[in-house]
Amino acid sequence: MSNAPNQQPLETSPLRLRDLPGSQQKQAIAQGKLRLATGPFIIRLHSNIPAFQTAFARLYQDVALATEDGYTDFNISVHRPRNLRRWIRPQVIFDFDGHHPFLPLPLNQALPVFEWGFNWCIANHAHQYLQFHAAGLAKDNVMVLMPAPPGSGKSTLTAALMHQDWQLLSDEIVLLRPDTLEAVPLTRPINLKNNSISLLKECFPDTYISDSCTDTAKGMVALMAPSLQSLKKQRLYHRPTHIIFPKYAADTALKVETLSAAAAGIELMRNSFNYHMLGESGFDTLVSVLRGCQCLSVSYSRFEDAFRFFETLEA
Amino acid sequence: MTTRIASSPLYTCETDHFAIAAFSDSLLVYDRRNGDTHQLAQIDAYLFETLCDAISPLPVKSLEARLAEDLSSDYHPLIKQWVHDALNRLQDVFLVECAESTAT
Repeated sequence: MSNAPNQQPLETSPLRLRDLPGSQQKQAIAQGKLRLATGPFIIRLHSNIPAFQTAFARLYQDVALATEDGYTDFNISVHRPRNLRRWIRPQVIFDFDGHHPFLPLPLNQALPVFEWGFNWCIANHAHQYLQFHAAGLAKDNVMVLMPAPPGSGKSTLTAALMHQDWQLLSDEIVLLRPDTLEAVPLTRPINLKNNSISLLKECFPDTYISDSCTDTAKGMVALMAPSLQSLKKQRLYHRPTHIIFPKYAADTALKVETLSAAAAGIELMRNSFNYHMLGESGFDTLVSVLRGCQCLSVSYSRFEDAFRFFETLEA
Repeated sequence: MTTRIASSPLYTCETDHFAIAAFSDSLLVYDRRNGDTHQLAQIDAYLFETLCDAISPLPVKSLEARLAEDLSSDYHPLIKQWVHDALNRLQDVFLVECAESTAT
């Protein structure tokens, strides 16, 4: 079976968010009329928070606008609740189709609240896919599925590889189609945490990284814009060729170990949002993916070592 | 319980209750009754055959005899331990089912 990426038809408007004048971008968000095509999903966004409108428009400027009519998968609103906190320590609340799945958080966390809430929408509703909490990257005919627990440096490595011409499929959720085993790109901002923020700002000064939010549940967080190249390739679906568990280990040489398919499968299962919900078809998809992949664990301390290793991967 | 030819090319073998996928280095077992997935690691061809035999509908004594035979074979202690663990993991279930099958 060929590992060549599969080009999907374009179903979005040729316009990107940046093609609207700045005032129209904010107006569309303020009026709840902005419809964006993020990966396979159409979202409609509403927000009455000016700072969020500005930051969102900057971060999503290269994302395609959805055509004017058509189905909206997720109606999302990020707004200030009308409670007494409006005046003292203002808050932000995430709203999905009129429901509030989370408690309000401090207003300065509006951007990560949107990202976390959008992830929640996908994880709880998109069961046509087998979903993994993992990063996905592709180059030529190679596609790497990279699950890892928090603190392993997954997002940092993903961001760095994106700057080495790897197509970012996703930083948080990899969506696999059970029928074709293809990963459907969900190219969105990369969630950076703590020390990685300053490190990546220094390494890639030309890439937009949002202001940092401190004191969140995950520590200090900031969001890095996806590369334009990755967004342009968003209709290219890839079948995974490698499952790699990365681990940052300071002051160590690159170390690569082969994992048994079953061990990798169990870890993938643990990193899936909906494996148990899909029942035996989830097992079938998992086994099929494992049969087509090489499974490795990789620990590294220097980007250069990791870059060289990733370049050696072959389909 | 019956072992049957796998209904899917993904499976190496399956029973009413289990779907088993063998890889070159390991094995994944899907428990259809509760949706759990388990791995059995460090498997080789002979051991895999043993395992498949073990989950076929043998009378209780045959299964026990087969297990004893494997453990007395000339394998490295770690491999013997693996056989013991692997079969034991499945044995409780299969023994009950085989016993029920024999009784009826």
